[in-house]
Amino acid sequence: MNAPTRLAEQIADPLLIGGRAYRSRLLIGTGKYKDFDETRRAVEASGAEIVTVAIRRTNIGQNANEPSLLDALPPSRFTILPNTAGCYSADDAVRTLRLARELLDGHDLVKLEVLGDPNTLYPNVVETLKAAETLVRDGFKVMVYTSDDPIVAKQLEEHRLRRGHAARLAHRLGHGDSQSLEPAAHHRERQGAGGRRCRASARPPTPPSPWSSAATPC
Amino acid sequence: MELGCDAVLMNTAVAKAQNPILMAQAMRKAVEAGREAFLAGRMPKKLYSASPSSPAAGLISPKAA
Repeated sequence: MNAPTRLAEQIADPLLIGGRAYRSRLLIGTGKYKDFDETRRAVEASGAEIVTVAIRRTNIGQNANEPSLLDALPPSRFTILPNTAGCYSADDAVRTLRLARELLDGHDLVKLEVLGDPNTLYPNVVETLKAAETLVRDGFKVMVYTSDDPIVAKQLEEHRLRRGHAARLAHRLGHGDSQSLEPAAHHRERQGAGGRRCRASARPPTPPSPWSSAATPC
Repeated sequence: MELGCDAVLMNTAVAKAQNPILMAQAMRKAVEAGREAFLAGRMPKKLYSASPSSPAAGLISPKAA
Protein backbone atom coordinates (compact mmCIF):
# COMPACT_ATOMS: atom_id res chain seq x y z
CA MET A 1 0.00 0.00 0.00
CA ASN A 2 2.99 2.22 0.36
CA ALA A 3 3.68 4.12 -2.88
CA PRO A 4 3.43 2.60 -6.31
CA THR A 5 5.90 -0.12 -7.23
CA ARG A 6 7.90 0.54 -10.36
CA LEU A 7 10.21 -1.77 -12.17
CA ALA A 8 13.86 -0.83 -12.00
CA GLU A 9 14.06 -1.15 -15.81
CA GLN A 10 11.56 1.66 -16.23
CA ILE A 11 13.91 4.15 -14.61
CA ALA A 12 17.34 5.15 -15.81
CA ASP A 13 19.82 4.88 -12.92
CA PRO A 14 17.24 3.90 -10.28
CA LEU A 15 17.78 4.11 -6.53
CA LEU A 16 16.86 0.69 -5.16
CA ILE A 17 15.64 0.52 -1.58
CA GLY A 18 13.65 -2.27 0.03
CA GLY A 19 12.91 -3.90 -3.31
CA ARG A 20 11.54 -0.72 -4.87
CA ALA A 21 12.98 1.51 -7.55
CA TYR A 22 13.02 5.27 -7.13
CA ARG A 23 13.87 8.05 -9.53
CA SER A 24 14.65 10.64 -6.86
CA ARG A 25 17.78 10.36 -4.73
CA LEU A 26 16.61 12.99 -2.28
CA LEU A 27 14.81 11.75 0.83
CA ILE A 28 13.13 14.50 2.72
CA GLY A 29 12.01 14.95 6.31
CA THR A 30 8.54 16.19 7.11
CA GLY A 31 9.13 17.98 10.42
CA LYS A 32 9.72 21.61 11.33
CA TYR A 33 7.49 23.16 8.68
CA LYS A 34 4.89 25.80 9.48
CA ASP A 35 2.01 23.41 8.77
CA PHE A 36 1.20 20.28 6.79
CA ASP A 37 0.42 22.34 3.71
CA GLU A 38 3.90 23.86 3.67
CA THR A 39 5.33 20.36 4.22
CA ARG A 40 3.39 19.12 1.20
CA ARG A 41 4.49 21.99 -1.04
CA ALA A 42 8.14 21.59 -0.05
CA VAL A 43 8.07 17.82 -0.59
CA GLU A 44 6.53 18.33 -4.01
CA ALA A 45 9.14 20.94 -4.94
CA SER A 46 11.90 18.57 -3.79
CA GLY A 47 10.75 15.79 -6.08
CA ALA A 48 11.27 13.32 -3.23
CA GLU A 49 9.46 9.99 -3.42
CA ILE A 50 10.48 8.88 0.07
CA VAL A 51 9.49 11.04 3.02
CA THR A 52 10.59 10.36 6.54
CA VAL A 53 8.31 10.95 9.51
CA ALA A 54 9.22 11.31 13.18
CA ILE A 55 6.59 9.06 14.72
CA ARG A 56 7.06 10.66 18.12
CA ARG A 57 6.42 14.16 16.83
CA THR A 58 4.08 13.86 13.87
CA ASN A 59 0.56 12.53 13.79
CA ILE A 60 -0.05 9.80 11.22
CA GLY A 61 -3.07 8.46 13.04
CA GLN A 62 -1.89 8.07 16.63
CA ASN A 63 -4.32 10.87 17.52
CA ALA A 64 -7.40 10.05 15.53
CA ASN A 65 -9.09 13.45 15.93
CA GLU A 66 -6.11 15.59 14.93
CA PRO A 67 -4.97 16.34 11.37
CA SER A 68 -2.79 13.58 9.93
CA LEU A 69 0.29 14.05 7.80
CA LEU A 70 -0.99 11.23 5.61
CA ASP A 71 -3.76 13.51 4.35
CA ALA A 72 -1.11 15.91 3.00
CA LEU A 73 1.28 13.18 1.83
CA PRO A 74 -0.80 10.11 0.95
CA PRO A 75 1.00 6.73 1.12
CA SER A 76 -0.42 5.97 -2.32
CA ARG A 77 1.97 8.59 -3.72
CA PHE A 78 4.89 8.59 -1.32
CA THR A 79 6.90 5.94 0.47
CA ILE A 80 6.47 6.83 4.12
CA LEU A 81 9.68 6.16 6.07
CA PRO A 82 8.91 6.20 9.80
CA ASN A 83 11.84 7.28 11.97
CA THR A 84 12.64 7.17 15.66
CA ALA A 85 13.75 10.77 16.20
CA GLY A 86 13.64 11.52 19.90
CA CYS A 87 14.32 7.92 20.99
CA TYR A 88 17.20 7.39 23.41
CA SER A 89 17.02 3.63 23.99
CA ALA A 90 16.65 0.49 21.90
CA ASP A 91 13.35 -0.32 23.62
CA ASP A 92 11.89 3.11 22.82
CA ALA A 93 12.95 2.87 19.20
CA VAL A 94 11.59 -0.64 18.70
CA ARG A 95 8.27 0.23 20.33
CA THR A 96 7.96 3.37 18.20
CA LEU A 97 8.56 1.50 14.95
CA ARG A 98 6.14 -1.28 15.83
CA LEU A 99 3.51 1.40 16.38
CA ALA A 100 4.37 2.93 13.00
CA ARG A 101 4.07 -0.43 11.26
CA GLU A 102 0.61 -0.84 12.71
CA LEU A 103 -0.47 2.64 11.67
CA LEU A 104 0.86 2.05 8.14
CA ASP A 105 -0.81 -1.33 7.60
CA GLY A 106 2.33 -3.42 7.86
CA HIS A 107 4.73 -1.16 5.95
CA ASP A 108 8.13 -2.42 7.09
CA LEU A 109 10.78 -0.03 5.70
CA VAL A 110 11.92 2.14 8.60
CA LYS A 111 14.68 4.50 9.62
CA LEU A 112 16.25 3.70 12.97
CA GLU A 113 17.99 6.32 15.06
CA VAL A 114 18.85 5.94 18.72
CA LEU A 115 20.30 9.15 20.02
CA GLY A 116 22.92 9.50 22.70
CA ASP A 117 22.94 13.23 23.33
CA PRO A 118 20.23 15.86 22.82
CA ASN A 119 22.60 18.71 21.92
CA THR A 120 24.80 17.04 19.33
CA LEU A 121 22.33 14.31 18.28
CA TYR A 122 25.22 11.86 18.28
CA PRO A 123 23.96 8.29 17.96
CA ASN A 124 24.17 5.79 20.79
CA VAL A 125 25.66 3.02 18.70
CA VAL A 126 25.37 0.33 21.37
CA GLU A 127 21.62 0.86 21.66
CA THR A 128 21.38 1.30 17.89
CA LEU A 129 22.94 -2.12 17.31
CA LYS A 130 20.61 -3.72 19.85
CA ALA A 131 17.54 -2.15 18.27
CA ALA A 132 18.68 -3.08 14.77
CA GLU A 133 19.08 -6.72 15.74
CA THR A 134 15.58 -6.86 17.25
CA LEU A 135 13.98 -5.07 14.32
CA VAL A 136 15.59 -7.26 11.69
CA ARG A 137 14.52 -10.36 13.59
CA ASP A 138 11.04 -8.85 13.67
CA GLY A 139 10.92 -8.55 9.87
CA PHE A 140 11.64 -4.84 9.44
CA LYS A 141 13.75 -3.44 6.64
CA VAL A 142 15.99 -1.07 8.53
CA MET A 143 17.91 2.01 7.42
CA VAL A 144 20.19 3.20 10.18
CA TYR A 145 21.56 6.49 11.45
CA THR A 146 24.96 5.77 12.89
CA SER A 147 28.43 7.20 13.26
CA ASP A 148 31.05 6.78 10.55
CA ASP A 149 32.83 4.03 12.51
CA PRO A 150 33.53 1.34 9.90
CA ILE A 151 33.42 -1.49 12.46
CA VAL A 152 29.96 -0.47 13.64
CA ALA A 153 28.84 -0.15 10.02
CA LYS A 154 30.12 -3.67 9.40
CA GLN A 155 28.25 -5.04 12.42
CA LEU A 156 25.06 -3.38 11.24
CA GLU A 157 25.58 -4.91 7.84
CA GLU A 158 25.96 -8.29 9.47
CA HIS A 159 22.50 -7.88 10.94
CA ARG A 160 21.42 -8.11 7.31
CA LEU A 161 20.28 -4.55 7.22
CA ARG A 162 19.49 -2.72 4.03
CA ARG A 163 22.90 -3.18 2.56
CA GLY A 164 25.12 -0.16 2.72
CA HIS A 165 22.51 2.35 3.68
CA ALA A 166 23.65 2.34 7.26
CA ALA A 167 26.64 4.39 6.40
CA ARG A 168 26.02 5.62 2.90
CA LEU A 169 23.18 7.96 3.50
CA ALA A 170 24.54 11.37 4.13
CA HIS A 171 22.70 12.01 7.34
CA ARG A 172 24.34 15.23 8.32
CA LEU A 173 24.01 16.98 11.61
CA GLY A 174 22.61 20.48 11.38
CA HIS A 175 25.87 22.27 12.02
CA GLY A 176 28.26 20.50 9.74
CA ASP A 177 30.40 17.59 10.66
CA SER A 178 30.82 17.16 14.36
CA GLN A 179 32.50 13.80 13.90
CA SER A 180 36.22 13.64 13.49
CA LEU A 181 37.26 12.77 9.97
CA GLU A 182 40.28 10.86 11.16
CA PRO A 183 38.93 7.29 11.42
CA ALA A 184 37.47 7.49 7.96
CA ALA A 185 40.71 8.90 6.60
CA HIS A 186 42.76 6.06 8.09
CA HIS A 187 40.32 3.54 6.76
CA ARG A 188 40.62 5.02 3.31
CA GLU A 189 44.37 4.80 3.34
CA ARG A 190 44.34 1.16 4.32
CA GLN A 191 41.87 0.36 1.60
CA GLY A 192 44.02 2.16 -0.93
CA ALA A 193 42.93 4.62 -3.57
CA GLY A 194 39.71 3.79 -5.31
CA GLY A 195 38.69 1.18 -2.72
CA ARG A 196 34.94 0.99 -2.95
CA ARG A 197 34.57 0.68 0.80
CA CYS A 198 35.42 4.28 1.34
CA ARG A 199 32.24 5.25 -0.44
CA ALA A 200 30.43 3.92 2.58
CA SER A 201 31.56 6.91 4.57
CA ALA A 202 28.78 9.38 5.15
CA ARG A 203 31.35 12.11 5.61
CA PRO A 204 33.13 13.94 2.85
CA PRO A 205 36.72 12.86 2.41
CA THR A 206 39.50 14.90 3.91
CA PRO A 207 40.37 17.57 1.37
CA PRO A 208 43.55 16.63 -0.48
CA SER A 209 46.51 18.39 1.02
CA PRO A 210 49.22 19.57 -1.36
CA TRP A 211 51.74 18.74 1.38
CA SER A 212 50.88 15.10 1.72
CA SER A 213 51.14 12.38 -0.88
CA ALA A 214 48.84 10.27 1.28
CA ALA A 215 45.85 12.32 0.15
CA THR A 216 43.99 9.78 -1.93
CA PRO A 217 40.29 10.45 -1.55
CA CYS A 218 38.18 8.21 -3.67
CA MET B 1 26.65 12.92 -4.26
CA GLU B 2 29.49 13.53 -6.72
CA LEU B 3 31.72 11.29 -4.55
CA GLY B 4 29.32 8.39 -4.91
CA CYS B 5 26.80 8.61 -2.10
CA ASP B 6 23.61 6.83 -3.15
CA ALA B 7 21.25 9.44 -1.79
CA VAL B 8 20.83 12.36 0.57
CA LEU B 9 18.37 12.67 3.41
CA MET B 10 17.63 16.13 4.77
CA ASN B 11 15.01 18.02 6.70
CA THR B 12 15.97 21.09 8.73
CA ALA B 13 18.08 22.71 6.02
CA VAL B 14 14.96 22.83 3.86
CA ALA B 15 12.27 23.35 6.48
CA LYS B 16 14.04 26.21 8.24
CA ALA B 17 15.16 28.04 5.10
CA GLN B 18 13.73 31.52 4.58
CA ASN B 19 11.83 30.07 1.65
CA PRO B 20 11.47 26.31 2.21
CA ILE B 21 9.77 25.67 -1.13
CA LEU B 22 12.57 27.31 -3.09
CA MET B 23 15.21 25.52 -1.00
CA ALA B 24 13.48 22.19 -1.64
CA GLN B 25 13.66 22.87 -5.36
CA ALA B 26 17.33 23.87 -5.04
CA MET B 27 18.18 20.63 -3.23
CA ARG B 28 16.37 18.60 -5.85
CA LYS B 29 18.61 20.13 -8.50
CA ALA B 30 21.72 19.83 -6.34
CA VAL B 31 21.21 16.10 -5.78
CA GLU B 32 20.50 15.55 -9.46
CA ALA B 33 23.61 17.55 -10.41
CA GLY B 34 25.76 15.64 -7.93
CA ARG B 35 24.57 12.27 -9.24
CA GLU B 36 25.24 13.31 -12.83
CA ALA B 37 28.73 14.50 -11.91
CA PHE B 38 29.41 11.13 -10.24
CA LEU B 39 28.18 9.21 -13.27
CA ALA B 40 30.21 11.46 -15.57
CA GLY B 41 33.42 10.65 -13.68
CA ARG B 42 35.88 13.31 -12.68
CA MET B 43 39.01 14.23 -14.60
CA PRO B 44 42.12 12.20 -13.72
CA LYS B 45 43.95 13.27 -10.59
CA LYS B 46 47.36 14.87 -11.04
CA LEU B 47 49.35 16.65 -8.37
CA TYR B 48 51.69 19.54 -9.18
CA SER B 49 50.96 19.73 -12.87
CA ALA B 50 48.78 22.76 -13.35
CA SER B 51 48.46 23.88 -16.92
CA PRO B 52 47.20 27.29 -18.04
CA SER B 53 44.06 27.35 -20.12
CA SER B 54 45.38 30.31 -22.12
CA PRO B 55 48.08 29.36 -24.62
CA ALA B 56 51.63 30.23 -23.59
CA ALA B 57 53.20 29.43 -26.95
CA GLY B 58 52.53 30.53 -30.53
CA LEU B 59 51.70 34.09 -29.60
CA ILE B 60 51.57 36.70 -32.40
CA SER B 61 53.89 39.21 -30.84
CA PRO B 62 57.08 38.19 -29.06
CA LYS B 63 57.22 38.77 -25.35
CA ALA B 64 58.63 42.09 -24.25
CA ALA B 65 62.20 41.64 -23.10
